[in-house]
Amino acid sequence: MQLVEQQAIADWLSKKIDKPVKLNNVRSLSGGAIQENWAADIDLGDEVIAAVIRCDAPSSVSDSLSRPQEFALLKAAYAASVTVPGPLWLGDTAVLGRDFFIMRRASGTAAGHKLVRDFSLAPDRAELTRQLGRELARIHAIKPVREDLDFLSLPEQHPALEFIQDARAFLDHYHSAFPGLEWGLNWLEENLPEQEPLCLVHRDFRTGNYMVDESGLTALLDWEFTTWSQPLEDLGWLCARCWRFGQQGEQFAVGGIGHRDDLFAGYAEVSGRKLSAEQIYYWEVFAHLRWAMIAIRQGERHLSGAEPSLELALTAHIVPELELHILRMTGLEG
Amino acid sequence: MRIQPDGINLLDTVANVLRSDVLPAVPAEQQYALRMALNALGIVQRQLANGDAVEQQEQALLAELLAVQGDHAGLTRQLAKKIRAGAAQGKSKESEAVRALLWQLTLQRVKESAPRYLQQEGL
Repeated sequence: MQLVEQQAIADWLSKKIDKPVKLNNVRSLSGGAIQENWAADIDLGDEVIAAVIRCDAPSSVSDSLSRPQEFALLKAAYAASVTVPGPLWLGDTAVLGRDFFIMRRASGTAAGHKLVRDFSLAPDRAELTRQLGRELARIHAIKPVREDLDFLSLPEQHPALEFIQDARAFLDHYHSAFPGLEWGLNWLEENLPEQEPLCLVHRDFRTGNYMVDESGLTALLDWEFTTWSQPLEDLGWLCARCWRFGQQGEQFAVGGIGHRDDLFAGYAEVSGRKLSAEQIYYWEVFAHLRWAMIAIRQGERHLSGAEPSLELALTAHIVPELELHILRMTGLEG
Repeated sequence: MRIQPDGINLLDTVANVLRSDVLPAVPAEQQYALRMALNALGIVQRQLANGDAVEQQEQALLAELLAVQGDHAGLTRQLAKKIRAGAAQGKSKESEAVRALLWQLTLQRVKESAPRYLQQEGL
């Protein structure tokens, strides 16, 4: 972040809270393609706050949530006792010429490949897995309609059906066909579970999107895909094969770190709802379909020339293994 | 005739140099980029090794099943349409043939794009 931008934030914040403000040790953190994250120590004279400044990337084009919306979600989750970085201040677009907000900085790492192999991080893996279940139950306790979250649209039909229709409409106009995904979408349609009441669903709750340190979970991140949907969608997503970082076996089914039973135990602790692997199986299949559709779109960002990137290019090459896995999960094996 | 070693051989040699000599010397922050590059090289190697033969064979199988002629992309789209319409479901001989081809085509894509999946899953 340029010094003039740092100064602009310090001046703006100083005026806002009526205190002298200094930004120290500003440095780049890994972010998404849509946002930039900057670590900063905010010196308020009587207190130094370890913070993260999260802003839109200069070339941000996206249909995910805006920074002010994400900030509102963070506040709602924080108020519901979800372990999120404490939201501090929503920025004024005029300061940087783009949206930003400031939140507390959690300690530890979010790197999934590191977490699954480094047992000095959250050493009690069963407890970490139960903790993830408790966090999900707290998120799912947030129900529509909420004035502070009125930017989240309510689905007009079963959220899974809405996904199936969107996916087919996209595939109809895409330059390449995906027979394996067509098979999977049919399976989702035929096995559609009965709709239950809508609740807040994170929609990207997976290893890689939460932070841990030696003591355990420190923060749930990346609320930009959150919306009103079906609670089990989050559990299926977290248990999908894609987020296990190479760990094999049932004992690592939950994001490469734990067993589903511990996830369900934590979920029941807070929600009172007892779940089984059978109940979330549909949503595990759904997760692979949804990730495949996202991967196609990410690959297209490279392919179209809009955003040449080796990472995006390789994401397109994840689709075949997702297709094959979907076939195997839904009873088609050669 | 082209000078030997050919492109496939050179790619293979480049990948080995990157993996054995360069990767260990690269700082941790850049290793991910190099691993991605090696992954991409692997896909290129496998595609080159297969040449057009695999796609031609698939095209023939698709044309036979669908009983129409066309290029690989067009026939794949027709198969996708057929599957959406339910042609892979049920117990008929025809649906069985559709499923068998669907499996074969998907498996082939994985062999080129992500053979590690097949090792991990014991396929």
